[in-house]
Amino acid sequence: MRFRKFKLVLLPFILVFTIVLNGCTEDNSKVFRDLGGWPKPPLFQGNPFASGGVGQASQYTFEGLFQIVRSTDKIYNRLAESVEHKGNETIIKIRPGVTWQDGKPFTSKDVWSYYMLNNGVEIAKHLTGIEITDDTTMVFKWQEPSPFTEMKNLFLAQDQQATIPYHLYGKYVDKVDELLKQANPTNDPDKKGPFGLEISDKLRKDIDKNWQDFLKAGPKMPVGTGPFIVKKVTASDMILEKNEKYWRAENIKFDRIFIKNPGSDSSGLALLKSGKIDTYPGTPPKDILENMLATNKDLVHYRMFDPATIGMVFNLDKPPFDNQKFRQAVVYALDRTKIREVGNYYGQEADVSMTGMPQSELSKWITPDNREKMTKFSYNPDKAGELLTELGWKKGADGNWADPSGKTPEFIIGVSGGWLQAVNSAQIAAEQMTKFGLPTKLLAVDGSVYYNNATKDKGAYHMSVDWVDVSWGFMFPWNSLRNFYWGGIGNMAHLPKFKDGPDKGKLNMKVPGPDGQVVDIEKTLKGMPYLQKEEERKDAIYKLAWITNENAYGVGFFQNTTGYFENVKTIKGWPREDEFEKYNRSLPVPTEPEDIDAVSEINFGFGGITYFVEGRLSPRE
Amino acid sequence: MRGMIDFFRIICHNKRSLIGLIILIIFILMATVGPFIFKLNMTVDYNNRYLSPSLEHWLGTDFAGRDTFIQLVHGSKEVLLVGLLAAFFTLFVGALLGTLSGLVGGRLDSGIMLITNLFLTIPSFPILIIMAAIFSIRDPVSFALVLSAWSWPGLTRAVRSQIISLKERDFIVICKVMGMSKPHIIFKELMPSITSFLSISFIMTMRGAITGSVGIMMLGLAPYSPTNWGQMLNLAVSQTGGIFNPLGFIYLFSPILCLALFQLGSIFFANGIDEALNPRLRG
Repeated sequence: MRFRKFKLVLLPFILVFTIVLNGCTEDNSKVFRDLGGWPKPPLFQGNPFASGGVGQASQYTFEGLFQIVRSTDKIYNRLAESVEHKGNETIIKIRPGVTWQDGKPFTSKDVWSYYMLNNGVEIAKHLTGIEITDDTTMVFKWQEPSPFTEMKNLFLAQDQQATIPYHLYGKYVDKVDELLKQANPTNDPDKKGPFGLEISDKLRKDIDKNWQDFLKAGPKMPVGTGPFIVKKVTASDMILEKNEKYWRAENIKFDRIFIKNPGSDSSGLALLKSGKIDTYPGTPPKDILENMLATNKDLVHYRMFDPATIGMVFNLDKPPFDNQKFRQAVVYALDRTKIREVGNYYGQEADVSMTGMPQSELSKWITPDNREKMTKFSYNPDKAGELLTELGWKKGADGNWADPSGKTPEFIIGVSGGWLQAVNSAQIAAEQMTKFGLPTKLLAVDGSVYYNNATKDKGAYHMSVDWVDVSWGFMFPWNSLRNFYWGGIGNMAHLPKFKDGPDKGKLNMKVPGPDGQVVDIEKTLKGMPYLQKEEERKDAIYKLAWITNENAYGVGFFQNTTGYFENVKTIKGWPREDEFEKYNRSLPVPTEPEDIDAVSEINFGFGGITYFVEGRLSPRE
Repeated sequence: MRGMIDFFRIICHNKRSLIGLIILIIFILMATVGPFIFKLNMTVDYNNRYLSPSLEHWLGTDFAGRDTFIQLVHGSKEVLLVGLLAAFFTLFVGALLGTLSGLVGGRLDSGIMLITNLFLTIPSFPILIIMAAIFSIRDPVSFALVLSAWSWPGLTRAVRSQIISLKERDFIVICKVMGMSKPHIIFKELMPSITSFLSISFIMTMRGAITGSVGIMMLGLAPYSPTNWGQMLNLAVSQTGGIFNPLGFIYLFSPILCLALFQLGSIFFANGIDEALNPRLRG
């Protein structure tokens, strides 16, 4: 009885105490409220390379020598003070006085550590080594031939070099250094590993084991050089505090970053709608976007080009998709306007099939004259019918097309089931093909088996949906072209490859180009980073884009338009403020170069936390 | 014949089961006759999305301007067929094995229980993923078989427990003393006592199969169908934002209402079945 009374008094007290405590932790002065994911404690740890990394804390905690804006290729110096290219050497000076968040100085050796241990990075394939001159100077030595200057910069800017502090991971760095010293340089391009070394199987095994050991090591909390330090991590919240010793601390206008882990898109949108977060990535369907802006007047939505196109590739191993005209007919049969309206209303349709590069980049690299020479693939079911008739197909009384042998085939489009935007787009494509007379079903397959199904043997699907014309990392079109021809998308398309001999596994594609001359795609792609003249590069890009389009290896449904919601009541410094009223807080994709840059950089996925480091963002008083 | 007349007389006298029967008949007509009356057109008509209900579009249109009611009609065929078949297979296997296990006992019981427990402990998700990599479902029967593959063990155990409990009752002991045949004991004495349980299990399995069919689709085992009620619900949440977009409420609630009504009809009807078949409830 007495205990019950005690409980009656204690419970309200605990309730009040909790509310007060919550109020204290939700101190909104000079706070930026973000959202994202991370491995839940006890899995959370400080090694960014371990499974799941450090999640959303990564961009606030870690940085590199440079910050590349993925969608524009603009490069900011971060920890690098200067870069000088001299022939086959690149001399980088790092900023003096930079420290790790645990107080230890950041030196050239830390950058060297990153490349030694993380030697699978792309740039390592183009270097012979990295030489430390002193604590703040290092020399990157390039192999012969070396890439053109802008390419070198892109390779350097891709990496986040301040992630493997030598004072924490020295044991593993020294071990891999020892192992790499046992390897010999080679000139055989097929045997070349990192730094031009031939890595034997035994050595590879030892290097991999050392890497696995490194993944298990590391501090409990991340130690970077970035402007914020991770202080508290729970399953639902993360708190970061300003790093007072940051090399550009005067630019950082926030004392704390609160990150919420909403667990689902709907919960994230609810947080945004109720004003509990200051930023939210993506462009939801038009009606949801408009509703969000209507119900929370403090929000602004910026749309921006995503250098990625949702589309599908045709499986060249499955007849009739081995026939160029048939593939072209399918592209003509698709009404991409209707696919875009459902898949991404604000997306951009293309008048090409696919080119191996995002549609928004075509005008930068291909002259108007050459662009005119590229076949237009706008919606044209009559043209599609003509092409099928030319191939001997006949349309039956049931409205379905029968092949020359009299059979009406049934096609399968494969898509990763968890990617709803692609599922919806592909469903419309399947409906349209069926209506046109080519019965098509969609299989929305679990993501864990989808890629394997699409690529193994002859492939399980006639058409596979993915990001097709897509540029991950940087925008120079070699990146997206190789992504198609050498990457997973090419595997889904089952592009012809040598099955044996010295070129086993390489593309066996010698295809007529725009001038009728045969183009060896493998050779052209391989040589592209070493073309020193811009004209040569543009010519190679045009040839490959023309071939990709003309052969209709796939079809881009639409270039994705991504975006960001920002809270303008709590945070100031967002771009295009003078246009909020004009566009009713729903800002279209910018067209002016400076606007394109400014808007791209608010996207953490494109440009990291550039707005924080450059001192553009601050809390509203 | 007389039995059938009696059965329907009891059903019709019971208000609940009559309502249930009417609801089920409407759904059966919707699934069988509906698709011939209402032609499905899934062409995107973006400018006419989220239209309010009207004579032209009885339940308005969805996020892509397609008629919601016609999607429900065409979805009902697949949903009901797959649900019914899955429930039938589950009930058939579960009731058969459970009855045998409980009645015969001994090694047969141990053997059946071993297999049942094995199926209960094997997680379905990885197996379905492996199945998705190997083959794809092309017809409602195989779809239903896949759905019922993991739902029969639970029912088997439940039926076995019921039978073990019943077979020790006086009326069964008397039947045995009187030398009545096993089939008589099973079908005339035991089965009527567990019919109500089986009919409720049938309904619950059917509901599980309808929602489970979406999962099977999203694993890639069966072709994706945007008119499947469960899939419509998925799309309503993701495409209309569910609670974030009042325009999409009708599209969101239509499949929910259909699923709820269908279950309600089934439960009400089961109530009548119980009264018609359960000897303890008969006058």
